[in-house]
Amino acid sequence: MHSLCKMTAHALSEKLKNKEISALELTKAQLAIIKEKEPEIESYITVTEDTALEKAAEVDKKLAAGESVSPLAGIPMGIKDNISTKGILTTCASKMLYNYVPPFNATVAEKLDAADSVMVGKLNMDEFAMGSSTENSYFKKTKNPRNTACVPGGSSGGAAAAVAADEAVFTLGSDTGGSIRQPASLCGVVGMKPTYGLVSRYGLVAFASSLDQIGPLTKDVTDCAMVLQEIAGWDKKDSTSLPAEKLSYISALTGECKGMRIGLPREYFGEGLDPNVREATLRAAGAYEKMGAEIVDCSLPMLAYALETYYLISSAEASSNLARYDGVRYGYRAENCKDLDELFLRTRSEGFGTEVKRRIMLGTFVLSSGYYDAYYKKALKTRTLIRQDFSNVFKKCDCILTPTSPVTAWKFGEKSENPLQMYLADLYTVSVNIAGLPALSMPYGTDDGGLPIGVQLIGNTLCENTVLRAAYALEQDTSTGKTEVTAR
Amino acid sequence: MAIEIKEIEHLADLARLALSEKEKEQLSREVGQMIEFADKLSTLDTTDTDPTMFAANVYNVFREDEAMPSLPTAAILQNAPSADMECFVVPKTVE
Repeated sequence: MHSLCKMTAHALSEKLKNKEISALELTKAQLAIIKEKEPEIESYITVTEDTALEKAAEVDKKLAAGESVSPLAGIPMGIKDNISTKGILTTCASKMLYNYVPPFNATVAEKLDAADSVMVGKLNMDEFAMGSSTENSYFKKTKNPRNTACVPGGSSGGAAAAVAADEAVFTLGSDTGGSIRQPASLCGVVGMKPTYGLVSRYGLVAFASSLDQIGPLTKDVTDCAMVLQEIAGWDKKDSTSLPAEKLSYISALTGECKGMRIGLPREYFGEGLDPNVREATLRAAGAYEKMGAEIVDCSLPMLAYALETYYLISSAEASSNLARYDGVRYGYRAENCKDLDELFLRTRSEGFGTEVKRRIMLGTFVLSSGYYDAYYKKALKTRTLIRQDFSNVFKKCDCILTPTSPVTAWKFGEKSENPLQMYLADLYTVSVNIAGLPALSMPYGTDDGGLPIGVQLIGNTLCENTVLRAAYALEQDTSTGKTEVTAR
Repeated sequence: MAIEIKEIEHLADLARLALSEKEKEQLSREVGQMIEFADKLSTLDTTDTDPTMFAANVYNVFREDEAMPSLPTAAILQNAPSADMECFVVPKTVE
């Protein structure tokens, strides 16, 4: 039964349709794996065994009645714990929301439920999605399934580890500065951040509203396209969602990329890049050339200012978004407070972890009188320059190839003492959020220690299909002998 | 560059955070480091550059003004740390 859960969603979908397996069998197998692996991997904050079994039985009824179902029907999946799920604990991995049960569903949760996929649980993350290793969770430390001495990346560490450990067929994460792509890279799975506004953020607990975006983490590019198909689309409940025409993402997966112009930005191969990662990314460029794509030398000079811009904007927005946690309406409340001021102060001081406080303080600083123009406004202007950088490159390229993370997975504790060191892990991913572009990370070989390497493909606004087409072609290509990633 | 403890105390007050002496020292160092790091942006010439708040070009989104049911009060109060009848309960705010 275990081998079932190693399969992709598209392969399982066929088996369900052909009645080789039932949804209930598949869900039971998935829950058994979770039970077996959770003591070690710790991907989940909550496992929803009962509702999963109920849902699977419902799907089997539909299949037996010959009803037409979504390709994701009956597929076990997990959702990051900052995405609201009605009646199911949604903690953001924070003490502040340790007991919060949303009275409504996020639009993406609603859509996956309507597609009859089977949610098996809620996934661990850095507290309020602030972090790059999932070590900032209030509840547990998720391990990297490829090497359990290493972090899974973050902040969607649980979502990436669950897919890598076969604890879910696919998962949903959120990406504010790389939080889907970086853990996908470190765990050896596919992860995609869509164009800002393509997927509704309704019900996603806000971190930095102008940067946050929900996206899939999957076992391959086909699954990524399938999940994106279900979750994309305009939503009247999210005023920042785009009224874009709905495309067929599966149709982008042609397997060829002849004539495609793929940009290789020189700034992404500078100081701090692990030689193994550099070599893998260049090997991927070579593979594209062999397939008939054109590799275009290009430049994104504003990369040098991306991290600074990102941390100023995201912390400013976070300090404002997190003002809502006051201990009055939901979540943690400090005990025995004599007045309202003490209630706010003690609730927030006891409920938030160190990294969250640090970002609230930085955000408050850059928004405060006297510093607003020098820091926050300056960052918003730099944001314009970063966007212009990308527009210039997209005049001569269809998509951009870079490493996803400058390094492969690191050991627990290695960067957690030094916040700046940790922030550098997001160097190659943050610009994409600043510019609102779609980008995908996919596994491409391993380093000397057998840890997965990820390469990132960045597309122009709403050009998900270009990214998926390029990614699928690289995934299908076998000419450069990229090695399979397996758990050790 | 460390940020003065007095400044940290002011920011903590604005953010409604009560910090221990140890936290204050740590944050004065760390926030200072981050600001120093971000000072690099001041080397960029942005005189003629407009700020970008959002990456998506969506402005003034309106919807039809239709009455729709809101969530039931009881469902909302289920998450309240303290509730009585149809209200959230907080410590006394007026003497």
